[in-house]
Amino acid sequence: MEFEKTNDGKTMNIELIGEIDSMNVTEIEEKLLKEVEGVTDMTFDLKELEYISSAGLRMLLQMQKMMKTQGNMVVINTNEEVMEIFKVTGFVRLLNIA
Amino acid sequence: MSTKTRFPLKIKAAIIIIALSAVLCVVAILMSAIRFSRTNEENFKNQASDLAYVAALTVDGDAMKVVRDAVFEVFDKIPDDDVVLSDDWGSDAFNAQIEKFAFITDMPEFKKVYEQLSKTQTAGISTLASIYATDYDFSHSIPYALYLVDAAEEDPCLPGVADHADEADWESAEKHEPMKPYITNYDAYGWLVTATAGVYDSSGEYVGVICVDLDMNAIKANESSFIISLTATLVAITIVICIITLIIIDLAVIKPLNKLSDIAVGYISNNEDRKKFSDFKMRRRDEIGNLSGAMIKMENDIGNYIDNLTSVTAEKERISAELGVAAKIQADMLPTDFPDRKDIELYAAMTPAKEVGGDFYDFFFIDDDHIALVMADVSGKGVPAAMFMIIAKTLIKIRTTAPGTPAQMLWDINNTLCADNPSGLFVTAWLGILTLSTGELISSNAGHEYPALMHEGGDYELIVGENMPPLAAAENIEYFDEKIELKTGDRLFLYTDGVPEGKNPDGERFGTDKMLKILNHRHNVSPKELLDDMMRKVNEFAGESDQFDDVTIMSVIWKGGK
Repeated sequence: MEFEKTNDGKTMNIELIGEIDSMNVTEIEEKLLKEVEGVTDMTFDLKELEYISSAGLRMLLQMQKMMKTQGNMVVINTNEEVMEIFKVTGFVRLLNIA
Repeated sequence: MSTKTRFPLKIKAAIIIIALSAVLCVVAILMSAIRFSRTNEENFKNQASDLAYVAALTVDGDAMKVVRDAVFEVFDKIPDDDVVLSDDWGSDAFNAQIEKFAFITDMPEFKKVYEQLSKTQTAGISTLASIYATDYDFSHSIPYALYLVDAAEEDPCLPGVADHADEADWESAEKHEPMKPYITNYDAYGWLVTATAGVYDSSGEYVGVICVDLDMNAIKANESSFIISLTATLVAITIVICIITLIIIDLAVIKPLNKLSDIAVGYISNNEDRKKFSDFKMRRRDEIGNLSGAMIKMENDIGNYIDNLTSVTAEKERISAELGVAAKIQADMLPTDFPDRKDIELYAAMTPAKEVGGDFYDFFFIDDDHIALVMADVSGKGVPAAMFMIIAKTLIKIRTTAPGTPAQMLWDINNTLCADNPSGLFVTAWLGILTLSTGELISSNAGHEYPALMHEGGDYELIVGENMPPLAAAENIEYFDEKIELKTGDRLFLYTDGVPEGKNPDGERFGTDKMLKILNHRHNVSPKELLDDMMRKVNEFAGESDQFDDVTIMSVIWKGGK
């Protein structure tokens, strides 16, 4: 995972890369929780994401719940494989997929 | 227990010390010998010179002049070719030549000089070989040294014995200069140091020289006795020093090292009365003392570490045992009393991953004509997932036995789970209710994998419907009911994501295509056989890689309607 934050700390871009499952999701979640304070616009770029397990979906859902109280969260560049996962799990109805 | 050392330090130290000592001895002996030999020779040369000088002063110069003149008178008459040298000692010609001078030994002057020389001869110098008077005769084509008086007791050189004069000899003699002692080694006379001093008569005229021969063999004997005693002393001292050094090394280094080594070897044994480093405390301020201190510290540290590790391990074992119990409780919650009926055949199985997980299946009869089928997967792993699974499973079962469609049931269950879910866990679930008499299957899908359905005579296909979010993800989700009319012999295959998402060592995933292919090769096998085959295929695919997720599957055949 790579992420960048604008200077004012309000906009945060997160790029999820490769596969996200319960092996690496805790580390990602911990890193994001450290940075999330004060962020009003959070964007998850899934262009390089190949697979996301239910643990990864839970992380996205948690971030979404958190962002609801302080701003907005959007998921962009979702590829076909990941979109299929979002469809099967019903996450298309939970996430703000642009 | 003591470790055997193939090349003990003791032997190595001994070899090195003995070798170095030997070298030191040899060098010391050689240098002493050379030095001694030079000084000794110098001393004897000086002694010979002094002796010659004293003798030359003692001898009556006038008497010696008479003797010399008498010898020269006879010698001068001998033609060049007839001169016999001392090399021919004992030959007839030699004896004949000596005979011509015989009368001189009867002269009172000869006797006088002879007596004077004899006194010096008997003065008691052990290395003195002989003392005699000579002069150099230049009457012939080459110069000769002629013996005048010889005080030797054995084989004296009688007057008339002639030798070639060395060039240096006669040049110095002519100039009346003192002559340097020299060392000669002729067969006739042996190994000698010779010193000469000029003799002068009452009028101061040069009348010849007194020669003193010192025996080099006697001198050298003196020298070798010195070297032998020196060697003996040095070797004895060296041996004593070697032994003392080895004893010191043994006591100060080797014994303590062996002791530490023995303790180290015995350290791991569980023997209660094993020796400890701390029992062997060395109050020394050297490296051995440091080593002993370091070993004692290590011993204490390891002791503390082991105690720590033991308690941590015990704690871990306790937790592991409790987790094992949790996993067992969880597994026991899954029903295995599969129905034995004519209208339905059902089998289900779960292979848990290493860790306690959140997969579960369930089936139960709502009434005699309706059976509820559940396949669900809690997100995440471990104890939280397992606890959440228990809650979800219980809630589903309770709500399903009350009236309503699966979609209505999921609405209620979802809102109940959402009410108190700070951990953000959720459950994907497929809930179906099958009317056994008609084959009507009403199902609702909360974010779960699409089930596979096979109509009798056809292939398995995924039931792709409108999937809604999983349970506990968000409140007030409107789930959809899906209605399917089963025909006799239709088969339903339910599974969790452990099947399609199983990974092989190359990172490839099992996938639903492969799953469908396997199903479609087994249209007519029993549910148990199908599930056994599927489990085996999934395991084969995973190969060496650890099974990462729970794998849960269920196979249902509806046989009613006939």
